Amino acid sequence: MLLKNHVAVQNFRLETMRQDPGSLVFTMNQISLASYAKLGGRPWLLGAEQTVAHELVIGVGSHVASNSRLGGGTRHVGITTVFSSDGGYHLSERTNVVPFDEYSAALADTLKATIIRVRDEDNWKSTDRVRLIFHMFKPAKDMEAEAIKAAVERLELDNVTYAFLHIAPSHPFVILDRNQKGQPRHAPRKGILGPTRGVHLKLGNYESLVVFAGASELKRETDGLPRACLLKLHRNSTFRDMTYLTRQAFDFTAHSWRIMSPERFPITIKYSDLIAQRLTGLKQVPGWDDDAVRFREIGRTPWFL
Amino acid sequence: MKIGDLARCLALDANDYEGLPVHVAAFCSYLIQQDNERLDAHSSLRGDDQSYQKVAAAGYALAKRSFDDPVVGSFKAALEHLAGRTYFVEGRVPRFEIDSIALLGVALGAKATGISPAHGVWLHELLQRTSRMLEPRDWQSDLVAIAKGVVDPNCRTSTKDPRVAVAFVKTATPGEVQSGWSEMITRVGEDEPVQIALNRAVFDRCAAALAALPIAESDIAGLIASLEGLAQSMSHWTYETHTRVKRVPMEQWEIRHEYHVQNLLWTVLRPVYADLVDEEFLPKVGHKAPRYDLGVPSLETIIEVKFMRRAGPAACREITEEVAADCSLYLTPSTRYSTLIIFIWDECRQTEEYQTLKAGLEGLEGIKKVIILPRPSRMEVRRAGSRPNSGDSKG
Repeated sequence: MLLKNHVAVQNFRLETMRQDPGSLVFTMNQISLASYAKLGGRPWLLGAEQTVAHELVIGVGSHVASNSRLGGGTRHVGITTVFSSDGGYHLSERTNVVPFDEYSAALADTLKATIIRVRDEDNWKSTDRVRLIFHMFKPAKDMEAEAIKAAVERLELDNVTYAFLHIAPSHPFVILDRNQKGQPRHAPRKGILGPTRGVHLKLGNYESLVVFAGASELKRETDGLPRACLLKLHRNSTFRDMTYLTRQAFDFTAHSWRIMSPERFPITIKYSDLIAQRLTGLKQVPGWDDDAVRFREIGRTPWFL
Repeated sequence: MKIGDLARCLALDANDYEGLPVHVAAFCSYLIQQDNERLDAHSSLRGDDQSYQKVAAAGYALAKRSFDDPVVGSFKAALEHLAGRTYFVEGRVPRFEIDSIALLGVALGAKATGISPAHGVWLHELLQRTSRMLEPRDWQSDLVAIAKGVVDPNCRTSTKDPRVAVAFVKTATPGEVQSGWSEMITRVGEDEPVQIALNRAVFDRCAAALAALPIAESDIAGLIASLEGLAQSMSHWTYETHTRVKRVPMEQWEIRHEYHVQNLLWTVLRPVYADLVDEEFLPKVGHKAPRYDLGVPSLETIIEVKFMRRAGPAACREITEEVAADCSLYLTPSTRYSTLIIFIWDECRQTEEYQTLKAGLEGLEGIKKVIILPRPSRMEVRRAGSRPNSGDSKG
């Protein structure tokens, strides 16, 4: 009801507020950070080392909504765009969520709309070098990559490079650190033998392993071994600097306006997941209207945090 | 603190520059004279990255010295690009539009390379919006005010922080420079590079002004030279013989007595000798409380003024006796003065007596110099009996 009437909402559970003050202070930090962002504040910007004139990073995340414990849910895809300008990465106000079947067309539409808007605002020249990077929850299909390229070509940009990066949390690799005795030094220890945040292993020209959340980022000793994330670059990509792409994805984990500590995934993926999750949940609310966040003022804020 | 120590306090080294954004580094190099050469590295705008920070840095470089055509051309192209952008977009974090250091750099560069009327209007409007957004009472809004003055010379520039005016406004008044210096002294300990650069700009300007003052003026030889120079400068003394401006009566500034001469000397010396004092009593000598005419404590020098009305040796004798008495009263160990300069206004212009009079007086202990100023011949009107009375001259 509040969101539908352009009022930013920050929800929290009663149980959360019943925490002892020592723990509650951390929760209050997160609440105040997200509330500030939802009210139009900009807590911080991530600096961009601009090696090309313009860079857009498009995140594609998903959420499966199901009414049954036995599976069979519907997958929705959220799209978030971050663009570089004036030495910083800015979160585009254009977000979108669509059923999985329609995501390819929606991705192209969102990308076109964002490019047209940012090109106009930043006065791009047709000869400017532009880099488009896609952070995806699934491997891009050849057909999808070509469809995106075709859509961008119609925008008359002369010098565009692409990188389709699959950010895969599930993979067969495990990184162990024999020197990791666990955190903190006294029992109970968490993350024993786990890798440290920031570890990067280049597996080849198209694959890298990177640790977004390491032993120090675990909350409890029962959280198990921290896992690395596999970044896989699609073969149709024309920008192939895996070191740059990995570093950028890693930096984006520290750009969240939702929590003070780094996220477990780049915000491009995390925000997209959240958008998909929130909107699929809201769709089940009687009387909910998607247009409230798609076209109205509240949709220009990070309402989903 | 010695002035050399102050200069060393107000300097940035390579490490300080290393961590700064490119336009902030250029801003500091622009303000700190000894770092001006660093600006050369910022002048070129090649490659893909023509961010506003780099354009602003180039602006500072171009404002400081001239570059060849390709460099100027690349700046103009970058300015054209900046002018085509949209600012204050809703939902987007403002960057260039509220970055006062960048705005000033762009404004300076635009002026140095010849800003077109269209770009002038664009930049002026942008600066107007920026100044409405920024807190009006801090140095950043002062920089925006300076930028507005750069773009539009008719724009009246006023700054809260006097250092900003001293650093950027060539026509800053002596009062503003003095305020800038005072502000700088109170903020010497600040370690922000921008603040150090602002302080250093004030220091450099004031140091340059000090260097421009003739050093001789501030010692006793300079004092004597100033007093001796009066004989020439009296040629411009107001003593009109006819009306020079329609409906404004002619004016004759008459010198009638010793106090008029003292006022004349005060007018000449006070701007140079800030500690000049007049008519001060000295410690009593017996029942006598001597009072001298003018004194410069920093030079331990008293200037005693005499008005010689009558001609002839008798008048000279009288002056000699008076000076000898003054000398013995003024230069006692209990006073802070050790030197006496005698300044005599001679109404009768008896130049033939001057050598004897001067030789006699300068032979007295403590008298450094005797300067005799004869009444200028152009003030002859009075002698001819045609000088209007004071009421007439002012009427």
